[in-house]
Amino acid sequence: MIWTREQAKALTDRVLSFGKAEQMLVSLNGGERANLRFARNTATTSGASSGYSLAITTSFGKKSGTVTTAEFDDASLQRAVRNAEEIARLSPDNPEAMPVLGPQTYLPVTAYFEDAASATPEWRASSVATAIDLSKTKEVVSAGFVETRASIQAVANSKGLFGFDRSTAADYNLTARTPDGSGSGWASKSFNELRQLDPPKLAGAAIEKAALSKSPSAIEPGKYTVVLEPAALGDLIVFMLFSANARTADEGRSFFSKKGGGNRVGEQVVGEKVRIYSDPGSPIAPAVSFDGEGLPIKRRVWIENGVLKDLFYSRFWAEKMSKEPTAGPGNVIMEGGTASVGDLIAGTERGVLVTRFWYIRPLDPQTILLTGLTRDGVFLIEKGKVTRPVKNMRWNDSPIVALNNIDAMSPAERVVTGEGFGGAGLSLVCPAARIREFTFSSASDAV
Amino acid sequence: MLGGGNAMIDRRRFMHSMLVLGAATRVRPSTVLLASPPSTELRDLADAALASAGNAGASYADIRINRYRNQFIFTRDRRVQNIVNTEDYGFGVRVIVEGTWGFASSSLVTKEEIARVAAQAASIAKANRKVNGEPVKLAPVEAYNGTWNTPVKKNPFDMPLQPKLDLLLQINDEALQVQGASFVSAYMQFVNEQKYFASTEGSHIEQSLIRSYPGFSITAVDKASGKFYSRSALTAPMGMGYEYIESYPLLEEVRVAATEAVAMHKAKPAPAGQKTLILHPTNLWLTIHESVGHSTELDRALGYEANYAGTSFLTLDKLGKFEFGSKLVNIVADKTQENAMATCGYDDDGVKTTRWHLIKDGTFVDYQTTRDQAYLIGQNASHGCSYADSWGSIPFQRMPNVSLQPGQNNVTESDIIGATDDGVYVKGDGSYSIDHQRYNFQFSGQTFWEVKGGKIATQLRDLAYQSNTPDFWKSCDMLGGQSTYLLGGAFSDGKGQPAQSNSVSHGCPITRFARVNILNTGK
Repeated sequence: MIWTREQAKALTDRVLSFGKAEQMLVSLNGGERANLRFARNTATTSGASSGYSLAITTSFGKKSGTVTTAEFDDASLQRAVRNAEEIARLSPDNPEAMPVLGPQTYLPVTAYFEDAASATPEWRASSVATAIDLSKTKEVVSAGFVETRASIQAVANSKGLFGFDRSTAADYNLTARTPDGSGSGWASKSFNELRQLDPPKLAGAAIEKAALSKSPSAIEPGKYTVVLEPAALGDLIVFMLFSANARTADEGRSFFSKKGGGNRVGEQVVGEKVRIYSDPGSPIAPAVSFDGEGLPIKRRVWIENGVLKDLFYSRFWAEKMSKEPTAGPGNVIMEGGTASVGDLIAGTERGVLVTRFWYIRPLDPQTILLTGLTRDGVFLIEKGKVTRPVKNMRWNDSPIVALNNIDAMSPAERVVTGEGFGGAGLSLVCPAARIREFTFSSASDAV
Repeated sequence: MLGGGNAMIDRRRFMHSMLVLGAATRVRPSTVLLASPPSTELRDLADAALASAGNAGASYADIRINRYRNQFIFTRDRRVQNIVNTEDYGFGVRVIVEGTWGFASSSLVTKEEIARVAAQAASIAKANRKVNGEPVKLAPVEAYNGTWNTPVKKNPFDMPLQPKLDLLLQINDEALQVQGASFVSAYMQFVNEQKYFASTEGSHIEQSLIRSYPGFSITAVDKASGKFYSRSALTAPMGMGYEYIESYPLLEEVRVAATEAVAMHKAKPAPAGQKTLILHPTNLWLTIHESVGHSTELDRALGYEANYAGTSFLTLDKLGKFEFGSKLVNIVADKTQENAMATCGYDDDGVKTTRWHLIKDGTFVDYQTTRDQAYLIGQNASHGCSYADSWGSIPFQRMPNVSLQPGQNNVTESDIIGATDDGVYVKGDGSYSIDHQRYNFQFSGQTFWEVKGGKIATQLRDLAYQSNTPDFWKSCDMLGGQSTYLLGGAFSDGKGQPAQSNSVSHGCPITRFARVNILNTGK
């Protein structure tokens, strides 16, 4: 069983009672997680971990120091607090230091589900057996991962603030490959609630895609209309939001900087169909509603009808710019449309259907130019139909350009991306989309 | 939280993301105050684990009782932003029951908890028995009773804070004195892994690994044009103590870096097309990591990473015969190399570390292996590549230091530049991306220079190179000598599910490659 609110409160109270600094902030994180991996159609490694970590920040005026510890006996805690105080005393003044917050009110959310918290090794093994059995039947070789976890997050400070919440996550993902190594399919989902996870459906989807993607042929790199499945589009959204820091923009070193000074909030930055927001109360992607400093995570709209509505403001930068500070969101939600993926394909004269991306990295922050590759199922679309599997390609493009070129979307769904975003910590909800003129730069022989 | 970064998490991006998404306090890191229990107490705890596992039916068991200490100091624009000391302590027990792995771990280090967790590991193995079609076979290993410590001259955790802060603030100051330099950040990171390992093979091993990393980044913003360019330090994290920080010419480099960041605004846009490419070790280390380090991992070749980091184009049939590169290319794996990040005395299987060739005279000759995988390629000993990044993580095959050997003759930088009529020269690591079988890659850098008629002509900007692993290494036509050899490396080599980080170094000389595709990324 993971720690209760009372256990967490007892620990944070005890740590705070040891403090001699002017201000003190403590943050407790941890819980239990257990997993099983498989590969080559057999179980490989598996494990369970139970652990908690306490971060203690102490301040004297504008000086502060942070120490973390995983040992909670009084002697260890007192040593950790003394060490944090010693660092704070030695530290020069930081003009950007902010005082700890007073007591806060948090949006009640239900991010914890008992079925995920109490999942057994037997359940995990049986969910893996499902994939292995189906893989053997369909003559593919599968590798994958199932994990269930239950976590707590608690924050408390010397001004009487206390926050506690719990969350769960159940993840299932697999890659199925044809024995000749010429076809590969993938599926991945994460939910807070175990019963929403459907291992047979995921296994079926990955295995089917492996068969469909077998023996691909190359197409010439260049600009193509693409139908990006939600897992592919999700990565573009996350990488764009990595650049959405208000300070960086105001300092003139981001795509969101305004020429001559300031930032681009209020400007049309992407296509009118695009609406992106965060909401810890989202029923499909519930998330803890406070951050490590105890700042409430509220519903925030980032992009509305293609117009940049907000950026991430640290507490210091928010105060300096007379804005509301932004707690790090626990989810990102992009609204979708009404087309099915089949409709998106049917409306494509010539294009490429992409399952997921891989190894995305920034190339130029001035335009948010990224590079990455396709993986685990790429198909040519001709006259509204998928006609054949094609080889993977590298792409060099910006999410800003892509989101300006969206012409249709499917309804949004809970997503785990190729880069692994969308599980515990940052839930993602995203549609599939048809995008014009996406730039593939070179061919890859990887399957 | 952002652990989705695939084959390698960019350290700069990771830090940036922590700032953007406010995740700093969610990271579970680790104080500098407590030493681990003495050996006799550790042995006592280990015996409890091994006995409990044996009673639960384990044919093999090991326990790691580990303490991790980190210090991280971050400054920006003449301010100390963050000083964090972290400490993490716990244990993990790994068992084989009826040929099936099981693992469990806890941060509560007591005899009772250890016995409970060992039994839990065995019950997990039993639950998985029915889905395991390949019983685990371990390569033989000697029993060791040993200790190994990184041979540091100055333990950074024993160093006072003040000189560290003074140096970082001096770096800030030097950068901002350069006209046109708008912003600077400078940091130091120190890591200490204190590891105790015991197994039913009879080993009891204690190790203390120390790593140090100073760095900085400078941005020059031109408000009139709305353009900005950044230049990061060419430093690498090293398996060394504070003596690395003291011996590295940080103040000298920060002045050069700030000047180059400002000059980028007036630099010539990169050419596009095939060019002779000269790579400095501060750039080439990362290309070696991605194209050679990962492709020669046996677990990838066998399909164990197919669902995450990917597989490898170096399939088993290519072992011993595949022409990986030109005859100049000799690449060794080495867990014993001085000052390197993956260097240690014993791996997390309790195997003594060694050095061996992966690529010999251009031919692919061997993989990186662990005890449970060596037999799959007919080898009867592990190369000692097992590593877990936490007491709570499962050990598996991780990359040793993988390095390109320098040329026999003492070829210098000016020899290579002088022999190049029309090319580009890249220093420092920048953007990087490679496919999941390690063929198609694209890398950028920190600074780029045009080479014309045997001389460095002018500074370039917005450059990346794109190639395919065997084509690239076959085009290697000139190797610098030992005097040009440097180690690069990273803390954040990512692999596995749940994702784990591995620290690794890659050494190489200044090296030249013929006819590589150059891109202009600014268009």
